[in-house]
Amino acid sequence: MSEFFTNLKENGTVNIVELGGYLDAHTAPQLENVFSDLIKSKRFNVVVNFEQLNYISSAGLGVFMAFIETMRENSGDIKLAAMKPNVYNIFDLLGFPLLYEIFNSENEAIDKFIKQ
Amino acid sequence: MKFSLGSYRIIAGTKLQYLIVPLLIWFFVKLLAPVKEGWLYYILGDLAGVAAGYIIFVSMGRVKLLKSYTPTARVISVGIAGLLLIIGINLYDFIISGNVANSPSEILEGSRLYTLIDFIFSIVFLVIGSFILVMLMELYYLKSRQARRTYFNAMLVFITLSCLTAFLNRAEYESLKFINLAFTVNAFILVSFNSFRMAWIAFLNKVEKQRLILYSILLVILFGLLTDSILETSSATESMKEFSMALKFYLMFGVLYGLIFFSILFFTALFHLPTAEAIDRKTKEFTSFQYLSKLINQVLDFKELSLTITELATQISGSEAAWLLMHNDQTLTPVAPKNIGFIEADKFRKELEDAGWKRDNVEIKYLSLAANPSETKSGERYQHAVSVPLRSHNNVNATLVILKKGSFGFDQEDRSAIETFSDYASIALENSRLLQESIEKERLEKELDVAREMQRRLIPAEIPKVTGLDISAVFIPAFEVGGDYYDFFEMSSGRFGFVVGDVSGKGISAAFIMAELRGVFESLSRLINDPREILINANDILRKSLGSSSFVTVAFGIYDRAHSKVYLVRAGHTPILYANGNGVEDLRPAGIGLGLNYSHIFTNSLETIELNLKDDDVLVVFTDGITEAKNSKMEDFGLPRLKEIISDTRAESAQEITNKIIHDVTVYSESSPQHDDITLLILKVKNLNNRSN
Repeated sequence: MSEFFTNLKENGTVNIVELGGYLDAHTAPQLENVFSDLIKSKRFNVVVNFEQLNYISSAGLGVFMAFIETMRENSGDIKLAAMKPNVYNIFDLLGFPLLYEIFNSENEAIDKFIKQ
Repeated sequence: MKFSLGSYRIIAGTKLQYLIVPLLIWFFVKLLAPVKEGWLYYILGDLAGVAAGYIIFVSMGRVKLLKSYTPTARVISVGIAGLLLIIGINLYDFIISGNVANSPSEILEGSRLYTLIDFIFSIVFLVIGSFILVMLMELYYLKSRQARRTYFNAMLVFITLSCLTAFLNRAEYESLKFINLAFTVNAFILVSFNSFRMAWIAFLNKVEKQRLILYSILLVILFGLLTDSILETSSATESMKEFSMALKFYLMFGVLYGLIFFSILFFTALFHLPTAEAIDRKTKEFTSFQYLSKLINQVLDFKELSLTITELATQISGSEAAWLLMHNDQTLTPVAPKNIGFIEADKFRKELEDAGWKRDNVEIKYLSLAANPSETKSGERYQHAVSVPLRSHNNVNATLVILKKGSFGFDQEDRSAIETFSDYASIALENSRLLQESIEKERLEKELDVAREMQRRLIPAEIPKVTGLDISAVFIPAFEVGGDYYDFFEMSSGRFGFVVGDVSGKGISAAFIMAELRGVFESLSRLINDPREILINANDILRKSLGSSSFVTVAFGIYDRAHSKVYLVRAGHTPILYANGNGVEDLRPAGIGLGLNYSHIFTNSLETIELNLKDDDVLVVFTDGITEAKNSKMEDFGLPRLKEIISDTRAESAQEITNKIIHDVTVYSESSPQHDDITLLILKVKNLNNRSN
């Protein structure tokens, strides 16, 4: 099993969180910490790059649910990008595309923030 | 023979009753002897007196103080005995010289009454003198080595010999006086020599030593007076000499011993005073370590343990303040501050960092804050600090911070004490943590048991018999309780409802939501016939109990036998598989999971799929425990495999299809543990046209 990791980048006003490995109940707290820190430092425009993420469990999905409201209340958002098909499938089954913006690539997600 | 006197208890064994023999001999010799002179008379009297003294001395040796029998208590006892002796001598002097004659010899010759008085006082003096000697003997032996016994016994022997030959000092034995002189000088030398033995003084603390200096001054004065009153010529001493020269010598030795002993005691205590503090510290250190090593096994209460650690840390290092910094993921929390406030301790971190401390230091670090001695709120200025990492397996779990005032800092002794202490404290903390962990683990296991039991009760005990449907259901719980759930409902106008759900999260929290879900669907299915409406209502009701990061996926179906139809809705759940003569289709009626959104977005997202059923059509509702079952390469079992099995086995009974699926999933995921619940519900349409059945 590939190790879960997060990596934080900045692109102007947009913060990019890169994810990799398996996001489940055991690794979800790491991602929670990343989002908490972003909120603490008042950075509400977030793009999550799923390119290297292999698996997401319901606990992993819960992390996005828990933080997206705060971001949106502060006129920011969490936009999701570059998911592998199996990961997208999980989001899709749950109906996330109706609630979250999901993009094919990181750049598309960043562009969306800039255009706003 | 046993009797108590205040806090003294005398256990005299059989010896005390023998006292009567020498006393009687002494009494008769003195009182009834026809001639009161001649060596036989003297020797007989003194022998009896010495024998009586010996018995009293030996009996006294067994006097035990019941409570604290400290060296200081013994010294005070000697003082009291000295006071009694001085009162006794003066009283004796007063009685004898009081109103009668000028010459004591006249009196002595005159009356037997005076002989009796002499006799009684002699016994009193003998007792007091013996008591003083016994107390001094105990002080001599206290904390001393066995080998010294010879010197004390030799002294006793020479005192005895000197007493026995004391009568030679009389004028008539002038030529033999040297014999007594020799014994007396020897006894005196040994008395002086033995007075230097006071090993116990080193074990006293500073306060006790200070007290001892005061006592010894008073006792030197007292024994000086006593020596004077025994050696000077007075009616009492003359009379005593006349009655028993041995007694006078005995008292003289006792009093001289006391005088020399207390003089030396004064100087010894005085010289020991500067080191008293160091010895105090050593003693404290020693007891601290003893205490801590006991503590290692008493780690049930972390709070208590941490308080003890900081308390002991200040003691062993002779410093003023201490606290523990607990290393958590990001933060450092001060715990159990001793002689410093929580907030102050927290603020002090910056000062420590300025002085070069880092949280990942693995070595003990001595920091000098002297450049900028900081003043705490209470006005304390600490110049020195030491940070002691408390480790287990190279992980620093906590840092012990100790602060010290004064310009000298931590000396070599402090440092070695701190080093030893840190090992003990690390072990104690680690044990405490392990214990907490195992308690926590046990608690979690208990919790899981409860969750499993809840889940088992929530799931239908048996599969209902529904006309026109062949139903099979299987539920395989994962160890951690994955939150799967299914249920059936009898609805109005002959409709039959079925639901499969998956609660996000695991364990007891998932089990609670399952329980609520069951109640919600149970009641909604009685009131509402439309599956879409049921989900909209369920979403609203669940809003209260689902947290911001929990959700539930559900597939809900209603079978209407009267019209051979099934209505299917899905809220974020895995697809529902539908197999008919044309193959296997995965149905994904649109719909967001419950708990993700509570607005019109949710309502609008829900779509109902309506199917017209025919005989042998198969509906398969399942949870992701099946499709996400992993093989050794961590690959999913996947939807295509599932569809293939269904396609292959559609002709068989619901139970047989179920068996085949479970068999294949089990074989596929043999080498990896099941990490999610597996739920599989199969409904097969049969005998649709045979309505009487």
